[in-house]
Amino acid sequence: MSALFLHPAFWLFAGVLVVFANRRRMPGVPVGVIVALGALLALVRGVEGTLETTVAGFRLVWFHADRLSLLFALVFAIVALLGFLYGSHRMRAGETVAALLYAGSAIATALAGDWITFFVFWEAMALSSLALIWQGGTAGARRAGMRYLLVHATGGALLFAGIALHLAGGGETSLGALASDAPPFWLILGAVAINAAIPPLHAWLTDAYPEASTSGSVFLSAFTTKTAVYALLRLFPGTEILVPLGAAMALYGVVFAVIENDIRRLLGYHIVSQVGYMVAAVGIGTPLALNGAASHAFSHILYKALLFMGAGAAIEATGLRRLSDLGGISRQMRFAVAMYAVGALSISGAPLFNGFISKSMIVSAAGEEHLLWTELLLVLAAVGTFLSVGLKLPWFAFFGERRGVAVRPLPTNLLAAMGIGGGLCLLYGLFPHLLYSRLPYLATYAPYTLDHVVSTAQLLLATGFVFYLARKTLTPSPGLALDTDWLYRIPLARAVAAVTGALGTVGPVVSTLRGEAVTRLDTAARRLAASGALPRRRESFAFRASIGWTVLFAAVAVVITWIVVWLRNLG
Amino acid sequence: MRDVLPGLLVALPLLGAALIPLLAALSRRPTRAAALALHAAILAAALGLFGSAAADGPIRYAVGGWPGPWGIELWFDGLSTLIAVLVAGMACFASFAQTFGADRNGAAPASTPLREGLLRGALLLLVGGLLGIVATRDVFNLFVFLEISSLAAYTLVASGEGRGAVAAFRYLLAGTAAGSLYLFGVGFLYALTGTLNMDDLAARLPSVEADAALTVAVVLIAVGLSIKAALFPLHGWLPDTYVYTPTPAAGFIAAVMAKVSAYALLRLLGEVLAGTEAGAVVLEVMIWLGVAGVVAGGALAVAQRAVTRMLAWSSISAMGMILIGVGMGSALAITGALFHMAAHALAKGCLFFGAGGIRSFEDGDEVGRWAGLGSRAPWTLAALTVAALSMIGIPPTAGFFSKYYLLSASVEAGGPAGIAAFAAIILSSLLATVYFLRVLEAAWFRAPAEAPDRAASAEPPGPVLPLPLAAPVVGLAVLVLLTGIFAHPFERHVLPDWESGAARIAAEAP
Amino acid sequence: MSRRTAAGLGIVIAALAALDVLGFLSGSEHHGGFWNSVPLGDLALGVLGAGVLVWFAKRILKRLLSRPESYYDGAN
Repeated sequence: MSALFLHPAFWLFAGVLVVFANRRRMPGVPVGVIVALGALLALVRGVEGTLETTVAGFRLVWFHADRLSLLFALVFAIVALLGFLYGSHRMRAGETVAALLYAGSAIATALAGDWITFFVFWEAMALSSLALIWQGGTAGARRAGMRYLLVHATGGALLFAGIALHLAGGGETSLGALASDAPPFWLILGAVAINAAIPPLHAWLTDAYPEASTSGSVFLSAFTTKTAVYALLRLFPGTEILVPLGAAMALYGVVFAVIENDIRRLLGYHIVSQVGYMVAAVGIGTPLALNGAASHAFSHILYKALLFMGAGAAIEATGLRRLSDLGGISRQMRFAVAMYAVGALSISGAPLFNGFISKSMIVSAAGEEHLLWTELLLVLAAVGTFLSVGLKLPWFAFFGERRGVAVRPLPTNLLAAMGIGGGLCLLYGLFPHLLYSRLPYLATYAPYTLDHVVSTAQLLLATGFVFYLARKTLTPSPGLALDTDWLYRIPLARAVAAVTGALGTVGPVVSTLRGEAVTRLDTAARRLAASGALPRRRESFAFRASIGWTVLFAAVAVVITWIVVWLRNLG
Repeated sequence: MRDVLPGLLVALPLLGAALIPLLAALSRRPTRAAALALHAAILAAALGLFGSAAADGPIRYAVGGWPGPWGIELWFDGLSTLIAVLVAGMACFASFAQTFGADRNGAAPASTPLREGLLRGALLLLVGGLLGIVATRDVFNLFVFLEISSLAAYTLVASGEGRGAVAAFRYLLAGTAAGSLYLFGVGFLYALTGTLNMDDLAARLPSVEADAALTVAVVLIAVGLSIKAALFPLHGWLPDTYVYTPTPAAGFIAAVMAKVSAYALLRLLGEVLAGTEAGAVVLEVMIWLGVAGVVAGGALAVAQRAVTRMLAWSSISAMGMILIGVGMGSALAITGALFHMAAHALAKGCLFFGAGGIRSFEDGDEVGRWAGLGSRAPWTLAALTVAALSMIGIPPTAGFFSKYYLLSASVEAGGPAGIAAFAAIILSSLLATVYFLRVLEAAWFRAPAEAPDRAASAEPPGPVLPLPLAAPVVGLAVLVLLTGIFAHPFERHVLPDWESGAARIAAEAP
Repeated sequence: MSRRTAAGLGIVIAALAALDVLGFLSGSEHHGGFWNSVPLGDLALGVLGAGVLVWFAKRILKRLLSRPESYYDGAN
C-alpha cells in the first residue's frame, strides 16, 4: 500500500479529484504545484521496486522502476511543476484537470511495467492532451483538436492492435524490446512513430500545439514526444531504420522552421528536429548513443519548456503570435527575454548550457560508429537550430524594429517559472555529472573537451555570420506553409465528403432497386398508407422492400449454403 | 431454491404483465413501486440462479413436471443465467426510468397513469419473453417466447410520439419475417428428427442424412435469428426502432434485445446444430457478415448528425462484433462475445438513457445541443463519458477487455477471416473514437451559447436530466467500470459450462 | 559592420583556428567527420550549411509551399 503513495503519478491523479471537487472555488489552483512537488519528492527520494495487481485476469505492473524510467519520470515531474507554476495565474479548473491527467499519465507511462498498463496510460495521455488542446477555447483549437484526435486515434488503434497481436502470440507481458521480424513490431513502431512525430507523421504536432493556451503548450511540448522517445529506448533500441529517419527528421524540422511565421509553430518544428536527434540515437543503439538519447530527452524537456514559456510570455504580454506582427518589445520584458536566451543557447548546444552536454553525446556516438552522413545531417540541423531559435525568433519577436506594440506586465509566477527553468538549464550545463550520474546505460562521456568546445563555437559563429548577411531574406512574412497535414485536411477531407455525398445518393438508388427486385408482397402497407395511418408512399414502398429483401436474402442464403455443403461433400 | 426459482423467473414477469395495468387503473404511485419491486424480484431470482448454477452446476427444470424430451424443459447454466441477469438487471433500470414518462421520447409531457401502467406491463411482458428465450430448452417454445417478446417490443416502440408507429410497423414486418423463417426452420427440423427438445435434437441429428432439408432448416433458423440480432445486412429495422422508441424502453431494447437473439444463435448454431455441416458453413459466413457489419455500422455512425441515430448505428457495429465471436466459436471468442454482450449492454443502455433524456430536455438530438452540458451536469456527463470510453475500448472499462478477448480470438483463429476480424475490430475502435469524441467535445469544451437559438433565451438552464434517467445513467457507468475490473466470472464458470455443453454434444456425435 | 566589430570577429576566428590546430596537435581523439580535422573546418561547414539552408528554405521551399493564411478556412 505504501508503494501506491510512492507512485509519483498518484499525487497528480489525487490532485485531479481535489480540483474537480473544488472546481468553482479555485480558479488558477496552486494544487498543481503542490502535487507536482509531491511527485517530484517521491522521485527524488528514490523509489524502487515494483507495484503490481491483478485486474480482470491481467497482471498489471503499475510501477517498475529502473534507471531509464526514473530518469524520464523525474524530468516529467520537474516540468509539470514548472508548468503549473507558469500557468497558475490563468489556468482554470478544466485546464488544470487536463494538465494533471496529462502529466500523471506521462509519468505513469514511463513507469509502467507491462503492456496493458503502458497502453492504459498511453491512451490516457492522448485523451488528456486532447482536452488540453481544446482548452485553448478558440474555433481554431477545436478544429486542430479534431485533427489531433484523428491522428492519435489511429496511433492508439495501431498500438492496441500491436499489443493484442503480441500478447495473443504468446509474447512477454512485461515491457521489453520486441523481435523485429513480427507484425507487432511494426504496428507498435508505427504507433510510437506517430507520437514521436517522425515525418511524415509529425504534422499533428505543429498543427495543434500552437492552438493550445500559453500554459497548455508548455505541457504539450514536454510529454507526448518524449514518452515516445522513452518507448523507443525501451522497445526499439538499435533499430537501424531509425537512424536515417531521425537524421532526416532533425533536418526536416529545421528547414520548415526557417520559413515559419507563428512563433509557437516554429518552436514546434524544433521539437520535431530535436526529437530527430533522439530517434537517430536510439537507432544507433550503442550504450553511448542510448545514453545520449535519454539525456537529450532530459535536457530537451527543460529547455523546450523554457522556450515555450518565452513564446507564451510574448503572447501573454502582447496578444500576438506571429513574428511579422511582433518586434521591439524586449525592453519591457527583459527578464523573460534573458531566460528565453538561455533556452535558445541550450537548444543550440552552446557550451555551458544543458543542450551541449547531451547533443554532443549523440553527435559523438554517430562519429564513433562512423556514420558520416548522419553526423553531417545532425551538425547541419544544429546550425539551423541556432539560426531559427537562437537568432531569427528573438531578433524578429523581441528586438528588431519597434512597431508600437502594447506590452502588458508579466505576472510574477510566470517569471519565476522561467527563472527556475533557466537556472536548471544552466545548472545541468555547468555540472554535467548531475545528469550523467542518473543515465541508464554503461558509457562514459566527457563533454567539455577542447575539440567539442572549439568546433561548436565555430559552428555557432558561422551561423551568426550567415544570419547577419541574410537577415533581410529571413524577414518573416504573413502566410502559412503547407505540410503533410495538407494530405488529410484537403484531399482526405474532400474524399470523405465525396463518399458521404455518394452514399447519400446511392442509398435511395439501392433501396429502389431492392424494392423493384421484389414484387408486391405487402398490400397491407399500401392500404395503410392510402388510409393515411402511415404517411407517404415512399415508406410503404420501403416496408415492402424490407420484407422482400429478407425473403430474398433467406432464399439466396439457403441456396449458397446448400451448394457449399454439396461441394464439400464432393471433395 | 433450485426447484422454485426457475419457474419464478419466467412466471413472475408474465404474471406481473397482467396485473400491473390493472393496478394502474386504480392508482399511480403503488403501480410504480409494485413494478419496481417485481423487477427487483426477477433480478433476485436471476442472481439466485446464477449463483446456484455457479456453485452446484447447471439446473434442468421440467415445466409442469413433464420431463424432456416430451415436456418443455428450462436449462440454467452459466451462460443462460448470465444473460438472464443482464436482462433482469437492465429491466430494473428501465422500470426506474419509466417513471420519467414511459412513452416520452421528445419534448411532450408524460402520459396518463393508465397508459403508463400498460407500458409497464409491456415492459414486463418483454422481459418475460426474453427470459423465456434465454431459459428454454425447446426450439418451438423458443419461437413462442420470441413472439411474446416481439409483440411486447412493438407495443413499446409504437408508444413513442411522432414516427414511433412507423418505426414499429417496420420492426413488425422484419420481426414477423424473422419469426416465420425461424418457425419454418424448426418445422423442417421436426420433420427430420421428430423432436423439439434441444438435447434430443442434438442427439438425433448425427443420424440424420445431411441433405437439402437439413440445410434449409439450419439456414432458415440462422437467418431468422440473425434478423432479430441485426446481423448486417439484415439490420434495416434497427436504426429507426432505436431512435423512435420512448427513452426508457429504448435504453432497455437497445441494451439487450438483439443480444438475446445473438444468445439464441449461439445456443442453436454453436451447440445444438454444431455437428451439422450447414451449421459450420453458416458460422463461417457469419464471421464475414459480422466483419462487414462492424465496418459499415461504424462508418455510418460517423456519418450521423443526430446522437441517438449515431448510437443506433454503433449498435449494429457492436452486434457485428458479438456475432464474429459467435461465428468463431472458440473458447476465447465466446468469452469475448459474452463479455461484449455485457459491456455493450451496460454502456449502450447508459448512453440511450442519457441521450434520450437530453433529446427531451434540449429540444433536439444534434451534437450541437450537447454544447456546454459538461459544466451544467458534470456528474451525468462524466458517467456518459465513461460509457463512451467503454464503447471505444479504453481500459479499464469493460469495453476494452471484451475487445481484447475478441482480438485474441481472431489471432488464434488466424486465416483470412481472423485477419479481417482483427482489422475490423481495430477499425471500429478508431471510428468509435471519432464519433464519440465529437459529442464529448461539444459537451465538455464548447460554450452553451454556441448552440443554435439557445443564446436568445434569457432563462437559466434547468437540470439536464431528471432523477429517473440520471440515476440509471450514473449507475450503469459505475457498472461499466466494475465489470471491467472484476470480470473473473467469465473465465471461471461461464466458459467452462459452455465448453462442457459443447463437449457433451460432440461426445454424442458418432 | 563597423571596423571594430570586424576586427573583434577576426581575433575570435584566429583564436578558434589556433585552438583547432592546438587540439589537432595535442592528439586528442577524433571521431568526427573530416571537417573536424581541418583547421576552421567547422566554420566553413557552418557558413556553407547555414547558407544552403537559408537559400533552400527561403528560395525554394517557400515558393513551393507558401499559401495565404486563409488557405484552410472552410476546410477542416
